[in-house]
Amino acid sequence: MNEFKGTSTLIRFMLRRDRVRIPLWIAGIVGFVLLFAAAVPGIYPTEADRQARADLWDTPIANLMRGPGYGLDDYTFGVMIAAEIMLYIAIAAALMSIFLIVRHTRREEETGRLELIRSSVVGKYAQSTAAFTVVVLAHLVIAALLALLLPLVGEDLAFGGSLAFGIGIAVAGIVFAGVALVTAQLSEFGRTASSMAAVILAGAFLIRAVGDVQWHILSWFSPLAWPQEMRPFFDERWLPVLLGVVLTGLLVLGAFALNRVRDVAAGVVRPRPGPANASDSLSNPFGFAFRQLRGSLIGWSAGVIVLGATFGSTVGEISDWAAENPGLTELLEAFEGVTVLESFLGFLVMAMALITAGFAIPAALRARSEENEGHAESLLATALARSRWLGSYLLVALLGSAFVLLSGSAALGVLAAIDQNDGGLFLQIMGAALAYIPAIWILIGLAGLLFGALPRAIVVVWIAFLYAFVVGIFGDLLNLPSWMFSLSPYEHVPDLPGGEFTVLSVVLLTLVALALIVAGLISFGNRDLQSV
Amino acid sequence: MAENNEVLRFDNVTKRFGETIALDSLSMTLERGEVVGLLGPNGAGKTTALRILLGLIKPTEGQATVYGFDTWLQPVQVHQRLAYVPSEFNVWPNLTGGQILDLLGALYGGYDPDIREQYIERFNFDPNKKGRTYSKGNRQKIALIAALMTRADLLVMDEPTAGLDPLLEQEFQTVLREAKSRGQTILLSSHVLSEVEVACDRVAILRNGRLVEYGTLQDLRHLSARTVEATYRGDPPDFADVTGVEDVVFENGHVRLQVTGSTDPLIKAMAKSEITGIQVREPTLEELFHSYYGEEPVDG
Repeated sequence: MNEFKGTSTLIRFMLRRDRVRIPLWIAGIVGFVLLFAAAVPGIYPTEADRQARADLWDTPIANLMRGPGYGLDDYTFGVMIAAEIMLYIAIAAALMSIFLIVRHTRREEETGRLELIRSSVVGKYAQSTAAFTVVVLAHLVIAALLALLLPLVGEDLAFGGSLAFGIGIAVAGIVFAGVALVTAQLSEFGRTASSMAAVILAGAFLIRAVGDVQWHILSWFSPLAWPQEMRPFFDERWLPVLLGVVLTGLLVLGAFALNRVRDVAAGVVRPRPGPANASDSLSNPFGFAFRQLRGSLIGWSAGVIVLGATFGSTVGEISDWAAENPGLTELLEAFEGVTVLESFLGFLVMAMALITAGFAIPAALRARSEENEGHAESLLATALARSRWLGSYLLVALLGSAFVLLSGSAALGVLAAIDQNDGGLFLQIMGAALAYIPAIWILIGLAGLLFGALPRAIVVVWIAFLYAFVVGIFGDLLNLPSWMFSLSPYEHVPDLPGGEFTVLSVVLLTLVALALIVAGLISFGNRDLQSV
Repeated sequence: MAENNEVLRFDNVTKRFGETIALDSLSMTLERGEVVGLLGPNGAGKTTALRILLGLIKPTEGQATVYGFDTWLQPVQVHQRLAYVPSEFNVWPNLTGGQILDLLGALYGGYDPDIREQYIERFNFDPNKKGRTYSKGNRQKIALIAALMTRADLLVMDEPTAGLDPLLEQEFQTVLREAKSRGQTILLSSHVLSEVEVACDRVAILRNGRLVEYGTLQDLRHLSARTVEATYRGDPPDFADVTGVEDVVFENGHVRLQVTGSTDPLIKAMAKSEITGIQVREPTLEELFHSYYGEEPVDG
């Protein structure tokens, strides 16, 4: 057992280091579920209201975005709460796992801190084991809080169902802790390790998306489908827990095996020598910023293209469904003012615009990590103006995010146009994507302004994104007041395709984004550079 | 015409971080071609002074100028004429050393590739490796080569030899002398006293954010206590009321003492006895250090 020596000390150390971070994650996840559970009865007071909502589960878009649904004949509050949000809570739990695991394993190696720890009496697997234990503990706390608090908050929410809800979320979260433990062994860089785990998370989302729309058996191969398969508040099933334990066990053993064969601080792939000279494109600030973000840009574009293609392949399901359900289709079209297909495509473009922020925000914030890691100082000591340096990162973020969204939308547009045999659909989808670009730019502008004016509060840009996400995905479900919608930049985008393209709102959003960026550049010029 | 030779000026520069005063009304100037050593214990404000000089942080009060340009308001003009070697150079992990050199060189405004090659050879540096695989000393070489190959008028160096092996430290001394003979002005913060003693024309000593001394090593030595040892026959000399004399120790026919300032009163007092031998020793830089650093407890 010498390989595990020191684990308990490391666990206490990690809990001490993250005494704010972990409680915030837990409070965020539990808090969102509780708020949601408390709000739903007010929004859907009668059984008829709930049943109307349940009928929406027949649509492919609901299956695509939320899962297969269950218990639709008796759509109680409990079923409603679990079926509508479990997928997204599971994603949040998985992200928490990925960030925390990589932070305590590969990041520690990358910065060289682990070297000092490993030189003391600490076993080979102690760091990984400690990080994994801490994350599992955090998930168990979430599960326990949900099991205890949900019955207090919601009407007719039983303890058993609440427990199944909590355990379901924990299963998905813990599986991705195992995934991150493996990816942390593969790359030398924490950033790459988290990206790889995030790609697997996105893959899990897609597998269950296709499964839930078309071949249901496929969904069982995605850990993200498991929480809903536990069917909390209906006929609770515990098979997903068994699957989760087995898969996690395999992942942890795999991570240990990889850990055994590699050196501290090394990846599985050895670094090779590179060129002795920088190319011209690398020797200017924009080229340099682009070079740093190139991998991320390629990764996100590829991911969004796969996503758009997957979404696009479900378009046929939508038109089939509309043909089979003329009554409901008519009702929906009267309500939305656009065809079912148009509203579906519009929603997908918005979803991709939200996902594009996953490239845009970190790209803009790269300036912050360059400052924190002491790289900015070396460059700003040269004849490079601060505004040009920061502007380069923001410009890459602006152009790159447009590229990511347009490439994903093009994939969606091509498949949708082929499926519907309507070339105009492609142009409509690209038009919708263009209209969303300024909304993403506002988030980049906000990142720039925070970096310049309030670098310590930079997390606010993520909160703004989370807000836009919740409003975009759950806004209808929660029946939010219109002022809450209007706080999200994504809600000022004209409803395309189908709606009217309003030049004014697009121009205004762009101007706001530019104003934020200019304010960020100016305020950065007036503050001290942080020392390492 | 003295104005035209001025390279760098700190004019009453104060920097506060919240309550703590990192730099307390610093005033000093550097003239063209001078090599100045910046000394002081950890936390004395050396790095803060250099970061102000680079325009990375803003002086709370006062102004720093380089070639007449305000370091905070006109950093680009300033940086076109200087090159900086940080005490710890954080390289980008996925770029090679050669790529980092070219990037910094291009951003400084250009360099001669032949000079780059010369320094790579002299420092025995491998430019093909990825950033994260370099040792601390090799990372420091990147910063040194990048700063030297630009041939900037002013070199600002913050503990540049940290992590270098003794042979390379020696090479660095040679490089410094060459730079000086080319007329480059150098501001060098260092803990390596021999480096400062050999290379620097003037020395500035910071302590708790204040400039406590600024002058040639010669000046500093005169200001500081010298050790006098003498042998005598008969009655011992009386130093009771002699100004500047301290730490007198008598030991059968031999006396050792410290004297500060003019030696005239001491000589006159000694003349009353029969002095058979006398030896005056200048303080070493280490002793100077002790006298400037050691009196009060230093906060980190």
